[in-house]
Amino acid sequence: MSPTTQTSSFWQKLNLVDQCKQYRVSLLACPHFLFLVMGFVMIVAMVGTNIVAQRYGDPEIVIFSVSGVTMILFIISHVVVRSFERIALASKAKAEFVSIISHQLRSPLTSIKWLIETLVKDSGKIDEQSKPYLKTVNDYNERMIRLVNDLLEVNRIEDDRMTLRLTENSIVDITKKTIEDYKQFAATSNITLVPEIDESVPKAVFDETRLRWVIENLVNNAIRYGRANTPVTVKISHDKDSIHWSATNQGIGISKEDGKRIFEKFFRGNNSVKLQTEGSGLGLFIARSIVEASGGKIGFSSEENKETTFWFTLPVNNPKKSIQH
Amino acid sequence: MKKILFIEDEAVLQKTVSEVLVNHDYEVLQALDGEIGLRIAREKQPDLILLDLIMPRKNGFEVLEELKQDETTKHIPVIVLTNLEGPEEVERVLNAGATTYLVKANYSLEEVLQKVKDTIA
Repeated sequence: MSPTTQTSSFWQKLNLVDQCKQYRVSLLACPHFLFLVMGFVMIVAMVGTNIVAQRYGDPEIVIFSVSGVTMILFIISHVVVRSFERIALASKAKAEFVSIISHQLRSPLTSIKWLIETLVKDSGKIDEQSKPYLKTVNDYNERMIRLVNDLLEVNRIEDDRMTLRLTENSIVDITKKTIEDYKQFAATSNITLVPEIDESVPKAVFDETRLRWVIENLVNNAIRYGRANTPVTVKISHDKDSIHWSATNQGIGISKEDGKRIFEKFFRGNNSVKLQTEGSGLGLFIARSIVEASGGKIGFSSEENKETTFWFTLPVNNPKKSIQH
Repeated sequence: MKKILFIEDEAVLQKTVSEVLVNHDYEVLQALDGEIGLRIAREKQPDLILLDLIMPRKNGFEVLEELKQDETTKHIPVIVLTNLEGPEEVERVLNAGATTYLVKANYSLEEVLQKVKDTIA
């Protein structure tokens, strides 16, 4: 982290108005501000009590002033607790809202998906010219389904309700299948997928659907943000404790500034926005949650306009063999 | 001809899936809410039930639990076809005795048909 950023984030944290704006509450209902007031009252109270005690030898006056200050502190604490409660409730309401909306969106999206499938299968119902349009509608519909699925997954992660279905699986097989599935997409971007897979990598215990999602996401990103006519290398190796998986591309890369926030929810780097308008900024957030819940680590290294590698590890013997979270 | 009861309140989905099943030589019984579905299941004894969860009058959880408690219907395999997928819902449904749990939006009609075939092969 550069000194400038450190300083600016330090000053940002001291800027109470900005901090309170993030919670969308007024200054008087903002815990940061109320804590500051409470600290101020405590200092004044201590100094005041000292002065009163020195000036008037009467213990009753001291008791009276201490009681008064305690009452003020009690009232402020109460307001602080209420404001925390309000923020927590707002966050809960938002999570429920996302969940309800997402489920409600899924029904019409399913209807569209299945109706298109029926139309395409029954070739008599649709002429050749209309087929590409229908395919585009289908692609957009699938994109919306993925987005809704991702939002629901984020909701589960934040509510700590992500349940891993752990079984013994081969990361090699999943990766090979993903490479096969993404070959055509890579070819349309003039990118070659190069597997460097150590076949002796052992099976491991993990949630197959979710890890497949992580691998597909990382391969998809590597292709999407890779430069044309360059390779994307997908590598798997292992040592006695863990399996190492990585995808490396040649492309625009990730700036140091963006790198710090790349795994944050809804974050999209400047370079990625320039290259691709599609993307919700949820993929890497979900990927990190899945890998970490599986007992592994995830990270990346990047040199701008040269090479970027996203990697994750998984334990060979997963200690979390039962359903967890 | 094998009989499939499809309990689903969304008319478009009901029609689309039923058409596919009929085209693959299944007899389809349709119910637009849980109560009617339960009645048809008892009267007609289908070979398989496709069951939605969020429905008016009687929801899918209640229907499934009643089906599995009733001696005349407990043997009928039930595929839950829903757009809910919270861990609690999946667990409740599988504990209640559902054969499979499918999240509609994540499956193609072809895949749903395959699950039906696998279940009542």
